[in-house]
Amino acid sequence: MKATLDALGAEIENALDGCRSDEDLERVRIAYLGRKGRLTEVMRGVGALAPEERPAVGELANALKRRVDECITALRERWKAERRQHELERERLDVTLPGRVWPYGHVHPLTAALDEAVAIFVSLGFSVYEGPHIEDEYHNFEALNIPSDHPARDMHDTFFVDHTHILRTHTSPVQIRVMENQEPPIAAIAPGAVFRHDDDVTHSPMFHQVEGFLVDRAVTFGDLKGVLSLFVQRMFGDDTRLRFRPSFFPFTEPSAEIDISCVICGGARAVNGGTCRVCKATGWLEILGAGMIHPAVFRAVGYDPEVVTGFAFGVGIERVAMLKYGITDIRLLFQNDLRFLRQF
Amino acid sequence: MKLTLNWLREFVELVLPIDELCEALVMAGLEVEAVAVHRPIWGAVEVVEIVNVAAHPNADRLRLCEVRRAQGPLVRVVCGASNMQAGDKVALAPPGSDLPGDRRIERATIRGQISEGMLCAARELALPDDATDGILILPPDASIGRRLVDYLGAEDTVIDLAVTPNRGDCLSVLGIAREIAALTGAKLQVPAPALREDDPPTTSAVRVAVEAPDLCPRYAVRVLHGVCVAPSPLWMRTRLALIGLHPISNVVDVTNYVMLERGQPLHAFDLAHVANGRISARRAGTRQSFVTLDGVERELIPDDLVITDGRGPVALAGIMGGADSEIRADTTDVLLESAYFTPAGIRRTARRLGITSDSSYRFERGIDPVATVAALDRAAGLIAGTASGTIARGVIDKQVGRGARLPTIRVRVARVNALLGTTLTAAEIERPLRALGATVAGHARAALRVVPPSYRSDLQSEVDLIEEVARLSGYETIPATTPAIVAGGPGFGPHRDPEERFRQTLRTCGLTEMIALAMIGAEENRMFPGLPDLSGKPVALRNAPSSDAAELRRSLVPGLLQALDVNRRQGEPLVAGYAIGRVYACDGERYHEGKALGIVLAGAWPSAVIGEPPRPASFADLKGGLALAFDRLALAPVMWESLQNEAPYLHPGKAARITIGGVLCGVAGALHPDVSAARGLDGDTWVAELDMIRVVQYCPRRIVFRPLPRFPAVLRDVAIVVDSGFQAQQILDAISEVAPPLVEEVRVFDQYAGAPIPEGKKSIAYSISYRASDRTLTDEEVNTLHQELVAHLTERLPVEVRR
Ligand SMILES: [Zn+2]
Repeated sequence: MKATLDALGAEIENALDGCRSDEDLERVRIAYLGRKGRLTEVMRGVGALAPEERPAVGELANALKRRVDECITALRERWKAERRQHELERERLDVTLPGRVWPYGHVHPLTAALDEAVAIFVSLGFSVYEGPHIEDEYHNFEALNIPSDHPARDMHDTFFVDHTHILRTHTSPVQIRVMENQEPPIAAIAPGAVFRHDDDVTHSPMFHQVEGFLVDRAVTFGDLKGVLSLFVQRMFGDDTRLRFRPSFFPFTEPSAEIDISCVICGGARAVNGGTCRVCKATGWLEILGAGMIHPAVFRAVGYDPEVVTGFAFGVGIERVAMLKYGITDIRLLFQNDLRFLRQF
Repeated sequence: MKLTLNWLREFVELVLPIDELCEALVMAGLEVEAVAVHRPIWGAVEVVEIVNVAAHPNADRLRLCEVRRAQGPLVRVVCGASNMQAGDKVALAPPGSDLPGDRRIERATIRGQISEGMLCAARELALPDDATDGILILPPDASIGRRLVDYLGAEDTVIDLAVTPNRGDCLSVLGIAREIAALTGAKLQVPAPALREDDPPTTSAVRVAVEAPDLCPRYAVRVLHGVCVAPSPLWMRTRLALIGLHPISNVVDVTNYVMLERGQPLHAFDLAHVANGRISARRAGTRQSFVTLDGVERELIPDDLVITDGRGPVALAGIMGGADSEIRADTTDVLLESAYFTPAGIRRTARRLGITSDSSYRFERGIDPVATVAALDRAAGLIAGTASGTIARGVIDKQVGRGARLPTIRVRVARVNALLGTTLTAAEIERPLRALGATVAGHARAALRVVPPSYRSDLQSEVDLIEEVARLSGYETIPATTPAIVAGGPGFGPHRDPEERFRQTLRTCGLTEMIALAMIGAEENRMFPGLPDLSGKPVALRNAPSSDAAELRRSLVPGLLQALDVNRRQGEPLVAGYAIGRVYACDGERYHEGKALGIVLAGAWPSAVIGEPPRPASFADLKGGLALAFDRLALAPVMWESLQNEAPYLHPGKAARITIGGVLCGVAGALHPDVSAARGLDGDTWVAELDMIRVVQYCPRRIVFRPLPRFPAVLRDVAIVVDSGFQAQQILDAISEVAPPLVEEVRVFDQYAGAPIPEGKKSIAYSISYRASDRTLTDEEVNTLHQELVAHLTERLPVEVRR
């Protein structure tokens, strides 16, 4: 009896292996498990066995039936899943086709750089002020300790509007305007356009600066170094190094120009075996002018330079944007060529 | 300011290698713009002496020279020139030496005679030409065997320094040498010229008067007799050429040389053309014209300082000499001037006349008032040495009072440290000041009494000296600190948030930000006068760089149209841009600066998905973008109405005026076809202009939440047939007038013309939403309301409801 069951099991396995469809399975099921199926008959025959044989053989027969049932169910489900998969695959999209072109406008790189600079200073506690572009000579020059017969005026190629008005040559007059209207402490920045009469191809007659100044009872040159280091490292990365060099501005003293380690060569002066052109192989890039506000400036706004001190700085945004994004020609910034603007 | 290392070495020992020296100068505030090493290729050329000159046996035009070198036998050289004779020192390029122009000299046989090298002409060594035919004849002091580059100083390093306007003292070799001495601790040495003076005395040749001591505190002269004007010696010409100066003649070159070396501008007059031997420094007194030595006729005003002779002006003091009294080839007697002119006076005149000379540049920045005579002596000595001539006995030195008074400045130790954030002691402050050449007179723990050196006219106050302490100690030694910023203030200010939201919305709609220059042509300003609110005339620049940048813009539209043009040329199918910026006008004496927004939109939106056609940009795009931006700012009520006469550059039928809360805030529409045609634009170009100050002003300061409706809305549509000239807004207005309170919203959702709508008519469909806040409306209730509304509408307006 056991041998018969083993033979039948092998036969059913063969039959199932040969099945290719649900119909085949059904035929096999009926042939072996149906009312007149061969396994069914064998199971009926169990009752005729000797009582001591019955439990063992019955167990074997039941196990075989369970196995066949499970096998049939598993095959049915597998085939069903395969058919579903096949069906869905026929609905296939070409995912390599382009997506919908959603319209999207770009921010101008100057605005991006200006906004970033402003946001950094605001986060440090500075407030934003604006001033007129058409400025009087007093605020642009005299109040900033640049008298009319001082050679420092040569540093400013000025556009004249009438006998007392000019286009501001820097954002520094906003310093005067803010201090004229407020008492210290003041932490202010003044972003905006400035104008110089430069025919040079490396200059634009209009460009942008962010002026900043801090006036309080005990502001030091060390504070200037600290604030500008924070700004530069947030703007250009934490590993950017700074170098403070003595310089001259009539409205600050001591005055400094601030260089940052070259954004291209990192200060190594060379890239890819050749000398770095961006920093002209100096390893440094000039980025800011700054200094301690000159006592004459404080006197012009009615502050007592013995009581308050302060620092001021100015950063050229075109230069920042050009260095940050690797732009080599300043004129690109004002041509509004979409091939350029789309990159930002 | 260019100078050479060899020149510097005459005043200070250079203990640092060039790289470190440059670094030290940069970190002291003297920016090194360039370092150029000059190492002529003809380094092997040497000084030899001609022993014998003979004719070449086989060629009439050649000579055979025997020359003596430092060592070895005499050598024979074939030479094509004939200007040499025995005893002359000349330059030999021996076999194997290189010359400019890729020439290599080898031993050669010339017409049967062996030539052991070549005797060089100045031209062949690319030296400043001495205008003589033939080979270079060197002065007798050239020693045999010396390399010519060494003898002439042609092998040298030129440094170009950027000198800030406060450091007039650094506009000379001596000044830079002083700075190097202060920075490196090396000792400065200034050789004192040994002058041989001869009779007659200077006073017998010239009388000097200073009549404007305020403009000319010091005026000194010397006289040289029997001068022979010729090219200056080759070493001087070589050095001048190295720093980019064109040599002129010995007398003139010396004045330039001494100016570059000492920082004292000098002027040489031909004494024969100084009428009556009288020199006076005085104001011009009257308006007059004067021809400067560059041949230009200058208009003088009474206050200009001039140097006059017995007849009239001979020089524009400190700026430029006159044509009549300049040094010429036949000059024999020279009047040499060394003066101190006050900076402001020189600058006023130079600026008014538009002249910048090396001389005026230095006077404007302040020269050393004490070094006047030292420089004069140096120049007189050099002229006597190079142009022969004798120096008349004595200097005439007219000085106001007892000369320059140097300030005594109190430097408080506490003040130094308070400003710098340092903890320097009095001694640490004193050290750098002494290194600069300042005298530290009084010395207490709390303050120093400091007298700056005469050549540092920029050091006038305590803070000037604090800067010097910081500069020489090194800014890098000052510790960086982070201040506690306690100042209150508006932060970003009230405008930034709405403005930024506006910009962002426009970008989301596909508009790219553009920035154009604020200067435009006058024609553009006439064509695009900007928003009606910007009253007044355009602002013109008095020194405009060009006619297309003659005025400040009144509108952002021209700049955007220019961008359109640039991008059209690139073949961009769609140009969609916005700009926010200032616009300018002038109302009498007052200037207005507005803030405007401009938009340009032209071309076709590229197909969004493959297969869909590109879509031409339309008024709906323009209005939709702006409407979204207004909505994002919660601006209400915004009205779009037909243009009246606000913007003549717009198409009268295809443009709108935009009001917010009843106030005109901008215009939007198609460019007038005539304007388009004039610019070569085809198709519709959509533009908009907004007054951003008003937009931001009307923008609510905060967003206030409205509770969500609790009961559903019920929608009813109505299609209305009207004359095709009817505007959708008219019916919207009418509906809102007759609408019962339960009408929540009325929206246009369709427009249709064509059969079965009669010709000349169109149908506009509105969707009306009814909602009650306290209950769900029933269909019957809404039907009744809707019928009543439609009935009221047809009573009020000549419209027909489409069933
Ligand atoms: Zn670099």
